[in-house]
Amino acid sequence: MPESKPTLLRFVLQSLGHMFRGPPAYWVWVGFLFALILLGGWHYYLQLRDGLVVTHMTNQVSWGFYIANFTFLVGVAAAAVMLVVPAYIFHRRDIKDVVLMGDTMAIAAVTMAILFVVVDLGRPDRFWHLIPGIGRFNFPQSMLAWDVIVLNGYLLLNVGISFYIVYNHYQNKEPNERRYFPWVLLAIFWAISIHTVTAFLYSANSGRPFWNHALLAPRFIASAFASGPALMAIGLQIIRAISDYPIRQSVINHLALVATIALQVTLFFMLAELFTEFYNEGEHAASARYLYFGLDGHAALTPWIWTAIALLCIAVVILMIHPLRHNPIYMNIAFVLIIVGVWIEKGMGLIVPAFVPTPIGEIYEYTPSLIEVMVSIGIWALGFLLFTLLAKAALPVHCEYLRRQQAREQCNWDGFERRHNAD
Amino acid sequence: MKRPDKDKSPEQVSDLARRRFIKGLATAAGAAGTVAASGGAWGGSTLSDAFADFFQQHYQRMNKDEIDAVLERIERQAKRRYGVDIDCRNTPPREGVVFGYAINISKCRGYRDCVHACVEENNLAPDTQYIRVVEMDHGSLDLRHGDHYYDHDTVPVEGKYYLPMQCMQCDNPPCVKACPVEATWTEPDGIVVVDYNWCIGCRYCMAACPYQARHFNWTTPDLAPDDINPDTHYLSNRPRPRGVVEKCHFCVQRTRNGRQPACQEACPTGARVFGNLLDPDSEIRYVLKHKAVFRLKEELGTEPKFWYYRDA
Amino acid sequence: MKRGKRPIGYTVWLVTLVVSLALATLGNRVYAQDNGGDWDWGAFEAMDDTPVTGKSGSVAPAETKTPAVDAADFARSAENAVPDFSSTPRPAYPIFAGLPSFEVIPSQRDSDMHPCSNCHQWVVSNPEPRELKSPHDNFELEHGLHGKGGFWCFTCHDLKNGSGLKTLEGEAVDFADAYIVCGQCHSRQAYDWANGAHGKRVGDWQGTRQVLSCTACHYQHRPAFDPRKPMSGPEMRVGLPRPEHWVPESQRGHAGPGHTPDWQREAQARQDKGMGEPATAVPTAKQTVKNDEAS
Repeated sequence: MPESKPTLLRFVLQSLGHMFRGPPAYWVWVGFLFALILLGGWHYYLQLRDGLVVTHMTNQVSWGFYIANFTFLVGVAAAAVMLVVPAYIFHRRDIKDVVLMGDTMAIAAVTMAILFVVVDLGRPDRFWHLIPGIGRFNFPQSMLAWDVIVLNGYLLLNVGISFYIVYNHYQNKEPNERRYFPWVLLAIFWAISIHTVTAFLYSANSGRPFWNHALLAPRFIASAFASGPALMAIGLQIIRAISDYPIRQSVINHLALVATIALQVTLFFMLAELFTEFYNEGEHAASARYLYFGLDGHAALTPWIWTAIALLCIAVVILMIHPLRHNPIYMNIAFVLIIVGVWIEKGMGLIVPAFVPTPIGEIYEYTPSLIEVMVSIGIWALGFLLFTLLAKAALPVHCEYLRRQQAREQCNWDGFERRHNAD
Repeated sequence: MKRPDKDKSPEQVSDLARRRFIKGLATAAGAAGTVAASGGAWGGSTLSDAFADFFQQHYQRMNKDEIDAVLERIERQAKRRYGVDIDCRNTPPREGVVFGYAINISKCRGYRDCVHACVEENNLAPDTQYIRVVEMDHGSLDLRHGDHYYDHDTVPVEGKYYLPMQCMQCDNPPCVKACPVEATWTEPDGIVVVDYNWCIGCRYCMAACPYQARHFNWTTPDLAPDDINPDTHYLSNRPRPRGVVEKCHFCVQRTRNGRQPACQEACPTGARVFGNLLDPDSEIRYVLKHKAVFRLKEELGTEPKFWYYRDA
Repeated sequence: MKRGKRPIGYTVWLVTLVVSLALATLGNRVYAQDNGGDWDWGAFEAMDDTPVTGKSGSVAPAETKTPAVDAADFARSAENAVPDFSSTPRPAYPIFAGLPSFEVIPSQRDSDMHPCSNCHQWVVSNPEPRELKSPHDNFELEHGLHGKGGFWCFTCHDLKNGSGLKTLEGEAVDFADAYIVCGQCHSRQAYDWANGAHGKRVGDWQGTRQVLSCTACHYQHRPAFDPRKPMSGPEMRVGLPRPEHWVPESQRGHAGPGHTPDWQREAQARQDKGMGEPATAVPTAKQTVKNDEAS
């Protein structure tokens, strides 16, 4: 650690230094992500050149793979709150140590979500029309305008809080809780709001009965709190494996518990929806029928949604049996099943069926084009890269801080161990 | 240049500074590039026109001079791109007029003449049709079981009736509410229009519309120069750019000049009744008063200004 | 789209008239052989004004004849289906007094045969219902009592006055006021038409209403619209192949998954089993097309 005066410039330079220093495995990983980003970038160029005609979206199914990924990622971003709440509200020390990673993941997820919206735009060159003041912002009528505000606001909040904490750690100062706590509190509500607003974006469309019901927002939150913690738990375990960042097993267990409960609620909500749609099946259930059973011989999504349901059911069984949940292998299998299951269920399984059949009864079966998949892979790679770089820069600072902290508060830490490892 | 028909009253915009800022940028950029760029990349535009396109303000925020400049630029771009002299106007809505439409479904025979008259009148790309005629089963109003793609040797087919659909020009339009940048709005004469130079192409309005009335330009519309209708309006049938949403606009370019929409004119069975809802003596008011009428998906609260009736 | 035939029509008419006159004067009853249909008038056929005389004999069994103008073709051709909008509008007949004022654009269809007195001042007409011969065979009379032929020429036409039409009470009506004649039976439609719920307004949506007369859209001798081929339907998006269900029926190799309501399917099944056709049975699209071909 440089012992010279810790200025902002030095902080930035040092962070950049951390980002571009690492073992060969790190460079292989970063290089791999870069290659994927270039691949996605090239395909996005093709899309810009020829127009959205290169996708498989049509006037019938006017939103597809991009918006599906967007929806999933908003959920992941919102799930950071599952670390923030226990860390700052219930003062769980073990979680407070890793909450920064949750924020970093939220930053990466929101960035990806915003990028997925941008690549879906027909006229990305007119993005400035969305900037309040210069452009023309249909606020508060348009739910999309709300979404622009909450997503960008969430990004700013997370960047701000994370930066404040890491910078203070860098300066070897204790972050002033009086200063950042109001922002953390705001960020907690904001996290719920990004996912609620995104759900409202869909459920506001009275012409699409598949979306237009009150359960959509709760279901969104529930599935987000299943998939987000699962993704975070896997990420934390990887970080623990490749760095000396002290991540307690109690944190992973906490995330597993949250995912378990959220997944149970998710499945219950799905059941409630299935019952309501199909007990007295009317025309409003046409989209649901298309999704779950196929409509008039068209059933492209049926295998996907049943796969998702099967994955989620297996995951919930694993997580509900305590010996299995505490077994790292089974637990991680369950996490992967949740991530894949929710990604299908909330992505393609939620966006596409609302357009099939269309409000006037047409059926067009949508599957993403190669270009859509490539651009999406590029964005995911960009998100992973962002997370990698941010984590790479923040971890050494944070580790150093924790080491000093630990030495100072050895007894507290031990006491904590006794209290929480019994979970 | 005097353009008497482009007399949209200038809207007072309070923050002139912002406009001056954008205008300054636009002029600077325009001065930099007078070199003509390739037609494909700039949509038949020069670099300076492309910059002017980029910095163009919202239709409702421009004053008369600015709109005139835009109209001339649109005509210039059409000339460069298609070699056609179009006349792009900005006829304002009439006072005391709100347009409405009624269709006699016992008269419609599914010929689709209206569909193609609309395609020709409104410079639609060949894969876009504003009007959709659905072949429906007698005794049912269930759109899902209608056939959109019927192609019989002769219509009408026994046991079927025909339900033409287009933009319903809702009085409470979900699409207008949905648009994040106010690129679509209801004009004083009740027509929901799109500013094709302001739309960002997010397609949220398409998700919001319960009538599937909105159409996206997935690529630059491929118009045959010979087929271009040169009589155009800024808010309606001027050649559209790629990546924006468009929709039926009751032929603004015709109806604001007193003419009937192209679909009404084309209908060989007289099933279409168009007129001013505010005029108690209009045919449409007669239909609403004396016929059993219904509107599609009225229960959604969209208040469509598009009725269906039967002879009875 | 003007028909543009009028000068030729008049010439033809004049020539035929001279020929007819000459023949009549000579007392040469060439046509009495009742073989008018076999005459080879070539290009003159459509416009032939050969008089039909009282002695043309009993109604002969229907011979194979090719009408000069097929009524179905007539209605199908766009030029005829959409009449000449440039005709001079006439103010509506006084029986519609009290309604919002409007102007009527008379039909131009068959106007080269008007008025009847052009020929029938020379030629005696045969009031007997019979198979029509040239020059009146350019249409199939299919009007009245649901197409069962309850009408005959003189239900609506009156040769005695120059105008050519008459009401059921015998009051003379001008050809341009044909809607008066139609409105006698179709009073509901006439009322709707006068008010704007039936028929077609042309020109502007504002100002004086100009509406087409009944016969502009409904061919007077066969008023039902003829079925015809629809224009092409919606396309798939550029760059995408059409999914199976998007391919129009005529281009599909096999029957598509077209929806038939259950009650129709049941009726169909009953019919197929020979259980007799229930009153509500509606044939499916495929069947109807077949029926049309057969008839």
